[in-house]
Amino acid sequence: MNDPAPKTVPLDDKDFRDQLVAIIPPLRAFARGLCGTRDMADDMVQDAMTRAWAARQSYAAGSNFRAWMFMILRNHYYTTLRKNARMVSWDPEVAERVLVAGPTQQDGLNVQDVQKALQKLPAEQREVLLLIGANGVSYEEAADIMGCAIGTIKSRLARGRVALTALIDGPAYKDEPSDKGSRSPAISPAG
Amino acid sequence: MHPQDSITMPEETVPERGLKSVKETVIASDDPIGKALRRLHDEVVAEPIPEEFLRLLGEIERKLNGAVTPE
Repeated sequence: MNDPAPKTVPLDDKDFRDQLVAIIPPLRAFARGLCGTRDMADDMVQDAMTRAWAARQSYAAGSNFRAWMFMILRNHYYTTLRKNARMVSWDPEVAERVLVAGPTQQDGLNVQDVQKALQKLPAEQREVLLLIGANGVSYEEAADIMGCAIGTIKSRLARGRVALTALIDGPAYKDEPSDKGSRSPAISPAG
Repeated sequence: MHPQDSITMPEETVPERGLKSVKETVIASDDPIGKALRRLHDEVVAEPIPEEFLRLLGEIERKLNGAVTPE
């Protein structure tokens, strides 16, 4: 007789709540980058938290809570995106309110320019740049979150970085919705 | 179809399986795009948590307290 499949052990409710509190800042940052506007991003995060709380019994204690939450958020984002095509358009007036800290350019690129350019990228390139470039998740974790192969993650990251650079540097960028056949040496993992 | 040709548009579900452990990966530290992305992230992370989040957490707290059956 076969052994039964290992049973998921959920986290204690209090511990789950504590993890939820701790994940709010990075989740807000990820959502802000995805959505482009503060209000929409914060609504997304609150919805994701509510969904996560309702589904807390399905979270396995000891597994990667950050990846689990990011996955819930991005699933909710894409579902909403399908329902509301306005989310992908960038409103310049709204852009002025996106970063409460205002423009920062201590060194290198202007953060607002990068934020604006991010919104012009295909969503799958934007999210991989946000996950790996901004949040510092690994290729493996990003692949888990996005539900695709590590090779796809690397391809999207490389293409996203090239497109983002082109958008910031000048008008040469063209939309490239496919991940097919692209490679860039510009991004390298640590180590 | 090549797997990389597809755009992931998942159904709205929550993951049920355990996820792998975190391994650190970074964009090169001197990369200007990487620096700008990290600044974007850090600026949002440094913001105070808005009131509506605290209200949501308060609701969760109340549910937690309500779940305790007094002796």
